[in-house]
Amino acid sequence: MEEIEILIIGDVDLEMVERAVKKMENLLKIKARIDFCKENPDYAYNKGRGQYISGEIIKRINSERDSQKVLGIVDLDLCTPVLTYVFGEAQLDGKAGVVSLYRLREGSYGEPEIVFERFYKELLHELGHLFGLTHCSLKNCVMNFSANVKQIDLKGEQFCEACLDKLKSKLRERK
Amino acid sequence: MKRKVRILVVDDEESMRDSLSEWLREDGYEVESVESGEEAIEKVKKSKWTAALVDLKMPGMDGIETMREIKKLDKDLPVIIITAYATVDTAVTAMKEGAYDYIVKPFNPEEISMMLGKLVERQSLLLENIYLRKQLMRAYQFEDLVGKNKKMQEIFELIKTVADSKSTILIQGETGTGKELIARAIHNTSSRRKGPFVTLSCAALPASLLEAELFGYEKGAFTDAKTTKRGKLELAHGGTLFLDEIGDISPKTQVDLLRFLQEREFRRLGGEENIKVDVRVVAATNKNLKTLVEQGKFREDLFYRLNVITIDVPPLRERKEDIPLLVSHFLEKYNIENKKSIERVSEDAMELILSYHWPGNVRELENCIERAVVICKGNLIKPSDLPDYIRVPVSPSYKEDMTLEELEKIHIEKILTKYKFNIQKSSEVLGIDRATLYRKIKKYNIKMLKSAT
Repeated sequence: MEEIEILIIGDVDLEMVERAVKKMENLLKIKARIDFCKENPDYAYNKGRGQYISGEIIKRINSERDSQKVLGIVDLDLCTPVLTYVFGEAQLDGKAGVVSLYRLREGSYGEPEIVFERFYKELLHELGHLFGLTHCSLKNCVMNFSANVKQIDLKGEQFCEACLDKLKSKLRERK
Repeated sequence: MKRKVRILVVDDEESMRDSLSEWLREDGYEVESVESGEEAIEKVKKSKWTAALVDLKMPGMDGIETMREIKKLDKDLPVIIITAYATVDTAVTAMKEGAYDYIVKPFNPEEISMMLGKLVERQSLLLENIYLRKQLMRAYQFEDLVGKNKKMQEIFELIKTVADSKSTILIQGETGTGKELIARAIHNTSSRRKGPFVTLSCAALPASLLEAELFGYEKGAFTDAKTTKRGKLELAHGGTLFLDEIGDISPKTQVDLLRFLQEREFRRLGGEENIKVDVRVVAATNKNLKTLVEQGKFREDLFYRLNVITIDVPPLRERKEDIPLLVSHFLEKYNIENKKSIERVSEDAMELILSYHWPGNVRELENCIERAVVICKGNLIKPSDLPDYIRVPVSPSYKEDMTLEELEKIHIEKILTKYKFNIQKSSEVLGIDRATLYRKIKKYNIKMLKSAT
């Protein structure tokens, strides 16, 4: 059964996304469908800041996609009106979210595996928000808030028991 | 798990409001957002917030003004000022006006998350502080009695020691010192706590009625005795009988009561059968029973029967260190009763409370705080919320070696207070003209007390 739509927006490393999505499907025993939106989200571009407003992308996903849960994937410098940058953003217990690969390359010494691990964690993190999970205070839980890539590297790639329990009950509710 | 943290976002720009709220929600905070200072103030009036994030530049009320108003309602609420343009001037102004912090938008995620982390830590320290204070309060509290005064602590200990004995207890103390509360505490601490606690005030009743109340009567015992009625002694079976104002009972009742205390049985008025009850008697008086005995007004044998264990309750003026404790106890009580959230008593009001001599003791203090809570408009009890007589400083009374000037000052002060600083009236009473009175007021530096509104 298809439960989540992964929407690749613009130019993104497809192989990395596919690998991460597979890993996520295995972890949570859910199915995800990958879809594409070739156009670059110019509508979300903010000239003054030279960045893309993540909320605009979320708004667009909300109005144009039919799936119940959609996580957009971009390779753009994302920000919000109040934050200088974000790795991703999602509506808490809502329909749409977005994750970017752009800032995950910082300090990765061109090592794709490091970027992959970061991306996988952020994918799980934003998915967690879509299912109503808030930030977790446990340092090794994937729902722990990371303000920079170092903090992403330091946290684990698993949900802690409490977060996993809440996520699973949310997934059961949908069935 | 995170403690419940409620954040109020105030920003006129919708996109700012939405994205900040969304991010805060993701971070596990409870968030509400409003678009103006006026709305923010309404929110602060209605409920308790952990912090407010307020945009500096808003049409109408700006951020600083909003903060000022918020601080008037809740001075401990941390306000974080948000601004798009960082200048030293605005930062300094914001901090001077009492902002908790100052942050330039867009924020660096690290910066805002650290700031909020610190804020939550502060909140948990505050909560811990409140919890510890309550624990401390409990240490000074025994049942409904409050006091850290040494004598009061000794009384609490004594209550614990004697509660389970069968002995009669005599509580002596001025009116309003809490004699009945002590009797209740004895009852509630004893193994009789599941039994009834019956009170009877001996002062309020004429002798015959008191006997009827105490022992009950049989049908036909006297003209109005249409049915058989059980007395307080029977009603208190298995529990405690509290006899208040014991010094006021008639010689006849004294004999009957003595008999009961010796035999543990009695007869209803007009009854023939002896009734045996298991009752612990706690008696109280605001008179000195020993003196009454000496004057022949109270039976000596009854006095010794009652005086097995005596608890002397100190008047409030002898345990002034308990006043702040009692004030906060009553403040909490009447806040709840009146659905108010008065934080505390201002220092000058507390000074007045401490300097007053409280002839009516704790009861008078309780009434005074209840009154203040009811009429207080803000969240701080001020001198003007206290009754007039407390606000009039106790003037030094006449002493033999006083100078004529000192005496004059005291007299002028008394007259002025009596006539509420009406100069015309006061000068007439004093028999001097107004100009002279003005001169004397200035000379003796007599100040008018603010009157209550």
